[in-house]
Amino acid sequence: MDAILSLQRITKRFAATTALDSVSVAFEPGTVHGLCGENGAGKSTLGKVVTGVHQPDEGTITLRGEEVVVASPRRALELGVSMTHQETLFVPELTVTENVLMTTLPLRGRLPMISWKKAYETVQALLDELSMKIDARARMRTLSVAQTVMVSIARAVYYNSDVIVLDEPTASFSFNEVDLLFSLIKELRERGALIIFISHRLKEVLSVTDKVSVLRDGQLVGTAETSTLDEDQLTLMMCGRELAERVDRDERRARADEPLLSVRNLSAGDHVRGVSFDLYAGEILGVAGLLGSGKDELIHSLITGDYDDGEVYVRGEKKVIRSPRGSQRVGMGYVPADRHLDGLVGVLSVRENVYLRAPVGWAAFTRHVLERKSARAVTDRTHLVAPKGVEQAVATLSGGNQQKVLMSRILALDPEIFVLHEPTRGIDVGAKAEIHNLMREVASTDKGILMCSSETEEVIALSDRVLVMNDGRIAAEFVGEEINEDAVVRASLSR
Amino acid sequence: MEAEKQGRGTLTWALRFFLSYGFVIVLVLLTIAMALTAPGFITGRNIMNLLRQISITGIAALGATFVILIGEIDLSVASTIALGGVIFASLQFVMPVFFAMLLALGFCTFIGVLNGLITTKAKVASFAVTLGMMGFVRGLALLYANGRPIYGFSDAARWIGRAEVGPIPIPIVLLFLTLLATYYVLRFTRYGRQVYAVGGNESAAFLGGINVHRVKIIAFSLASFLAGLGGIIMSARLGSGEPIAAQGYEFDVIASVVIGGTSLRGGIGTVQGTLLGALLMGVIVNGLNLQGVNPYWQQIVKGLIIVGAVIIDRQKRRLG
Repeated sequence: MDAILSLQRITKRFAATTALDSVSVAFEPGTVHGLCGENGAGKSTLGKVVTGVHQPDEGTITLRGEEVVVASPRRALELGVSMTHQETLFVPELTVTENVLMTTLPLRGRLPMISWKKAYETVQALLDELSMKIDARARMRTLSVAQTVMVSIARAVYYNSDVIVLDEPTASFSFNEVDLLFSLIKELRERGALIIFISHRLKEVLSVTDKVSVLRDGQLVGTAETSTLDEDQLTLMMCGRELAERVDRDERRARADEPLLSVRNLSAGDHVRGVSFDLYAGEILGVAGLLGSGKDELIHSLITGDYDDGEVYVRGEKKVIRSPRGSQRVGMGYVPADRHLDGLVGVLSVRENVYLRAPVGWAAFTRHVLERKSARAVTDRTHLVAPKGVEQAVATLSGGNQQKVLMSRILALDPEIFVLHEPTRGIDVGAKAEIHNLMREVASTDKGILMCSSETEEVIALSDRVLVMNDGRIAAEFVGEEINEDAVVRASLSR
Repeated sequence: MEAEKQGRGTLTWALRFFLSYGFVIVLVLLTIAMALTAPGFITGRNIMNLLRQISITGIAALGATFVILIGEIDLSVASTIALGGVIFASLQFVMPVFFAMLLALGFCTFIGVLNGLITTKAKVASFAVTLGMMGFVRGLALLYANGRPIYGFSDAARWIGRAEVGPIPIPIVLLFLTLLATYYVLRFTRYGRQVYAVGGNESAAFLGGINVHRVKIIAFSLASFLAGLGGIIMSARLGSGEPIAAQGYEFDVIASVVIGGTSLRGGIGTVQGTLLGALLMGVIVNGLNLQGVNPYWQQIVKGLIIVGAVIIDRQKRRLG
């Protein structure tokens, strides 16, 4: 089949780094084409070059047999090329309809006046046709992340795009939402569209795509039919080395009688309803659950002290938590789920981010020297790779390295209780494995780790014990050999 | 290819250097230009004069740097300068100068605490809070002084405005002491780190265990404290506490901070930058005065510079 879109020797540089290095790849219509690679491999950049966000420094883009210059996202839209961004960009206070139509809201006849009725009807019909259960009149901010991605796809369909780039669409999905997205992707493929699916999640890539192209350090490693690949081969292509993810579980250590952390009848709003659990020293306690199951709210209310009811005990002693600082005082350290919004201060250096609340040492004028030294020591433990060392601004690091900065911060704080919220979301497999190893290392001392993750595989691979949240309560607890994907998924779905 | 790459690197480096230190270059060039064209610009006397002219807004701007670093704004600073002045002027009649200063500073600091409390606890945008406070405090100063200047300073009370340490007037000494103190706080203390953290990413700061409200309230208080100090110096220098003094100073204060490279979005900036910003404004005003240029031009030039500084800040962020 002829390619609908092909790239010839595309090179894109940002200052000193070459994000794309002479990449040539052809995409066929009516296919789902996966784009894989570690963070910083150039996948998103490739998507942005295709959709006019970035201009290539060298190389050409051919669309439906004609060489084109995609000067802007608007031009891309005119050419039938759409993209959903990692940070899907919508105006939260406007309705779904306004966000979809944006510049093309229908007018009432020749009057310069928007016909809202017509607008809502058009968009609602579109949403229904794509079997999205979304109200066209709803405000954007009331939608879930998954629904936002759906709306951006609806927008692509509305503009008759036949090339749709999905950049990490499932990053914050739960798996029933993933299914919904996948059937939508297949529907679009039936219509003859090309879908470029950028993702870290190898299982998803393997299950939904027809072809896969792998990028590494800005270069194309290769393109293959998905049916000829398995997870190991794909991983090998992505990082150029084999990673043995250790799934075998340590025998649960003999536990102290007294739990490190006990939570009793914790309630917060509608999302957390009377949750009780214990965390013991030397274990990783995983918390699984769907989006909206209350797992995120549980962690958040525990850390911020923003709960309505319930008690928290640390080593048997009752503690009152009123702020994140308060939770630190009682011995908890926290790595938030969203490293950009809630974790890091982008303009500050690695060193300053590690010691964000309290600089090292007491002798003011030697502080920076001391601090630099301890920051180096702690970031070495996390295998942080920062070309300019600990003085590099964190905004310029890759996602995986940013996550390592957050891990360095919690290691520097050295709490008894590690609360890790989505510890490896959206980072490359290499960094992920390193963070997992670090977690095991921490748990092998007398610390306890409470880990909340949307990636069921991660929870299963790491946890000594798993709590499954469902509808604001703990629906099930699994220990040791009982832990498997089937059981966890069932418990999170049951009503 | 290699050479081209290198050329590109040098170019970005030069551009970045200019964006970061451009205003220093402008300051140096402007000083040279003034020295060449304005009669009497480069005399010791005039330089002291220039520094003294900027000392009041400079001290206030060092405080305002904290507020802007945390991503907030303080419009009430000029009114607070006036209030500090009239309180000091009235109290120095009835108590030792030192206590009069302390009370005036205390009261001004309280204005800052209020700014901070309303901004954080009632979650009102600091723009609105301090806009209201600007009117409120000005009214307070007018009411307190009954709308008239308060004359009759003792020699002791005038000391802080008129005395000199060797050849250097006290206001300039205080300006540099304030610079040192604020530099120390921002660079070497826990509080300084927290200011940058809150300004750079408030949510991360909060979840990282920082008491964000406390950091903000202290920043507002510091700004008002230093505005009060500026007010005391001003009244001591004039020998009168004037409730209508310092009108429009918030412009110079905020301009100094922004020209000095502090981002209005918070998280980026330094106090030494603010001082250079204040110096740049001082050189313009002083130089144009000496040349006998219509003073209305000063306003126009200052206005252009402040917008230029913000544009440069934008570009700096874009280059990363």
